[in-house]
Amino acid sequence: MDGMRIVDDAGTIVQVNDAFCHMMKKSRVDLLGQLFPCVYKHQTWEEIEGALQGYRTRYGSRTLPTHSVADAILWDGSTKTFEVTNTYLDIEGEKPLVLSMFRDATERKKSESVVRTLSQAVEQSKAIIVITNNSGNIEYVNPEFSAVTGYTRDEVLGSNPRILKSGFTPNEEYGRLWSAILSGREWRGEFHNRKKNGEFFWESVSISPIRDTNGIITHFLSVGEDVTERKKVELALAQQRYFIQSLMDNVPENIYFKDQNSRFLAISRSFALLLGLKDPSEIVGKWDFDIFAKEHAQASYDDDQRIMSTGESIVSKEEQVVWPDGSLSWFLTTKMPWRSPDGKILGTFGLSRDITDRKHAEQALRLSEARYHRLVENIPNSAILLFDRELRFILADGPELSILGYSKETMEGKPLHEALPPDLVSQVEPHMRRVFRGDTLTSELSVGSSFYSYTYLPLRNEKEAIVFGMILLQNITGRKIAEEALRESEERFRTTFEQAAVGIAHVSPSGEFIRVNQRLCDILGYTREELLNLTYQGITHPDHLKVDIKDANDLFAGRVENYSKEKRYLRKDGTSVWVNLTVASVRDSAGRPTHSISVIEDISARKSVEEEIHLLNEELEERVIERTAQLQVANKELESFSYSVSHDLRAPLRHISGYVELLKENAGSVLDERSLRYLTTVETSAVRLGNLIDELLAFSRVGRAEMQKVEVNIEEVAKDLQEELGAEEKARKIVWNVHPMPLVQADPQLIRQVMANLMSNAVKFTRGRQESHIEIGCLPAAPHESERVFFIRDNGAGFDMKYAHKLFGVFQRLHSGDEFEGTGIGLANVRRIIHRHGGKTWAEGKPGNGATFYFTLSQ
Amino acid sequence: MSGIKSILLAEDDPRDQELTLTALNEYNLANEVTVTNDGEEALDYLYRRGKYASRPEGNPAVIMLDLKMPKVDGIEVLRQVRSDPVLKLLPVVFLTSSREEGDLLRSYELGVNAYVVKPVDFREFAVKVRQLGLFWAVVNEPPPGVVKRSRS
Repeated sequence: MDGMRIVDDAGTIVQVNDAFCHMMKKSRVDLLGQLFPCVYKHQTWEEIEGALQGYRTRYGSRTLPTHSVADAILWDGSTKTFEVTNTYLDIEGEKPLVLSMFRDATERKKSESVVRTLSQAVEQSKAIIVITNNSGNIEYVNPEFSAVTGYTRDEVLGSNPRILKSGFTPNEEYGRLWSAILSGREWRGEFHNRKKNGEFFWESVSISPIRDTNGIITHFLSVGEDVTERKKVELALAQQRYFIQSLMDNVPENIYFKDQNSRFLAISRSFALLLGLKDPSEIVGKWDFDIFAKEHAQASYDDDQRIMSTGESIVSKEEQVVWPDGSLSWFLTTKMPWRSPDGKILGTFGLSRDITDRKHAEQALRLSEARYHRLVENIPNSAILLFDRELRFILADGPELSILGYSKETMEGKPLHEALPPDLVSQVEPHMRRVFRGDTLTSELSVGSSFYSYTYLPLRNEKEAIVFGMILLQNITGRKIAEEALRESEERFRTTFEQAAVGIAHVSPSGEFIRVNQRLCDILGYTREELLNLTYQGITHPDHLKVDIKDANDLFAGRVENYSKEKRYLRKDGTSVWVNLTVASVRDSAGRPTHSISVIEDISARKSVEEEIHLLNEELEERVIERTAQLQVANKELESFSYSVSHDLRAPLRHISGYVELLKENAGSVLDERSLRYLTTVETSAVRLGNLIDELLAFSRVGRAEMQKVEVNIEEVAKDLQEELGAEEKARKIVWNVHPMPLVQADPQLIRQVMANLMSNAVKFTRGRQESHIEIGCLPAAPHESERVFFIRDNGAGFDMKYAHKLFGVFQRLHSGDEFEGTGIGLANVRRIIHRHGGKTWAEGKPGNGATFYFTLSQ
Repeated sequence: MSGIKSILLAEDDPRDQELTLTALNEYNLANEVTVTNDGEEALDYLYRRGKYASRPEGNPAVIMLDLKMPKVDGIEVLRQVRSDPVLKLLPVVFLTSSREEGDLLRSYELGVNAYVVKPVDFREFAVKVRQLGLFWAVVNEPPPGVVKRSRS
């Protein structure tokens, strides 16, 4: 029932109904005659005046709203919302009244406000909200849905949410969803959906049915959230948890986490094992005092407290751990504050490793440091470096260290990367690491012009565990240079040895071939391998073997330094080969013979030539001997012939001459003149024959006589003969002109014969001249010419040059015996003598114009 | 003039014997010449053996030997004479046709006293032989033990 109120032009209530009184919670008496604003509570005068003023103005202009909603605080203090409808009541003759109908709109206004708020909440929600009808078609999506999926509201209205299906959500999940919501229950779950652009996203969803006032399901409401990021984080967190777990379960190091009270929260599995626990979780709640001896536990507790109070870590502290039974271990420990993400210190955590073995080894090492020092001091140009598993140098010593620019101080305790320059590190690091895998290796490095040998070797403890690596560093420059020089020299030697045109062999003192070159193989017809299994004795010709062995013994015994000879080897094919062998011994530094070097030259070609020559010579000698014998026989015959001639041929002549003489004496008086002349002719013939025989004998003697060459002064000989001949021819005028002449090498007797013959000839053939001119001399010699030309010139009868060739023949005469007596043997004799001296004879002349006879002799 | 001493001539050729003796005869030396036909006979004479076994003692003043003779030649006679302690002092002269150097050398080596080559010309030959005969048989004083005969 609506309330009714009538107000006059001044704003005074003139009439109300019961419903109005009820609404205003006032009696009719209270209301009638009241100004209308005074009905409500807490009205000040000014407010009432204001309200009245507004009313009277609009009343006057008849602009009062016909419909309005107004909130009002009632007299009892309650708030009400009224819908008011104003109507002017025009009464004739009177001022209009205003009829206002009031309806309590308080409840409606309230629910309207809720829907509006809900709608805004849905629209502005960061949740993905989808409302479908009961057949599953989308009726509403909020803006977040569009923001996440990329689909606009218009695109999806009326379609099924399955457009978002990625295929990753199992169908069973959808089955469960439907059975839940159709039976009126809520379903919660996650979809792995696909956006419009194809991207996937995770959505956590709650889907519930919406019922009408009758309880009938009309719609489904899906409220979801994009949990992709959360999913990722969850995955990452799971991974991190896994990482940490892996570490905790597998690393050999001891890892722990403690709370602020130094109570263990977690430890690594290896730590648990060390402590004798079956599972790391058993540690939770315990502390160091439960594990270690009290003193160590206290120190550890103090460390924790200090770390937490200062926030500072303790890094790589080597600490001695005392177990409850008093035994000791060494740990290398790093302890740190454990902070929450906002930096609040929650406790401590740490990491430690058992270095007891290393500690023991180090202690042992320190004890043996002197030994290493001695070691490297005794290896010249060396240095020694010891390093641990972390490649930290723990010992550096040796004279070569400083030469390389390092020192004990700069290296010991330093990790590899600090101690050495990067380029060197890259070279040594792989080797240093291999040492801990048990390898021993050597490499060579050149530093500038120096060479170093780096020997890497593992040092093991008594349990055979590798505790350190060692680098033994040696400067091998000298050795390298020597090696290089040796290599070059060996190369040179090898080349010489192999390419030599002569055979070369190294032979052991007992005769084995140690090394042979190709040429020797060629000479002997063996392969290298065959020769190396042979001895020189085995291939020496039996004829030389005895001498060979003796020579070799002399050589190796040092009685001779080398020897050279010609010998024969037996070739593989059984033939022998002549070689010229030169052998020298090689001795070691102690002077012991190590081997001999034999140089073997194939002289078979020369030998065969020599042999041929030898054979020829022998043949020739034989022939000479034969011929000489023949000659000797002939000479003997000639001699006995000459002898016979000398004795027996002259005797009858003498008899002829003698008996003619006797006849002339006895019968001279009775014989006529002609007969006497005949006898005289017989006599002179006999004498002439005698002369001939004498001359012939002399001529044959010249050919047979032994020659004795000495220095002969021809000038003296000539002057001597000049006197003799002059004495014989006193009646004649002979002008002699004997020039100075050089000395010659000749047989004096024979030269005298030559000169006598020629000079007497000159005397004889100048007989017809009033004045005989005879000139004897020697032609000027060419320089360095030892042969000289001598001449005897006369102004005598001369001769015709066309007969010159006959001059020196035996019994050849160019003049009759009546003109000039002679046997025709003299010049033949001259030629024979000069020829025997290696000289020549010739003559020049003109009939009636003198002749010149020449002969040559050597000075 | 002292007495003429005897001459032993050994010459195998009868013509040479005749001519030699003819030449020597001109000075009446020929009677004092004993002629043997070869070396053997000459040695027989000297040692008084064979056909000369009965000859009186005494040696010739000179032995004139031809070089070339049958049986024993002149050189061999000379060698034996020179090696005999009694005969070695006797003068020995070779009278030969040979002018051979070898003959001369051997002869002088064995100690010949003279070596005369017989010239072909008889007159020269005669002169030489006579001079020889005179020298050795008359002029020269022989070693002791040589037979001397007074010239009649």
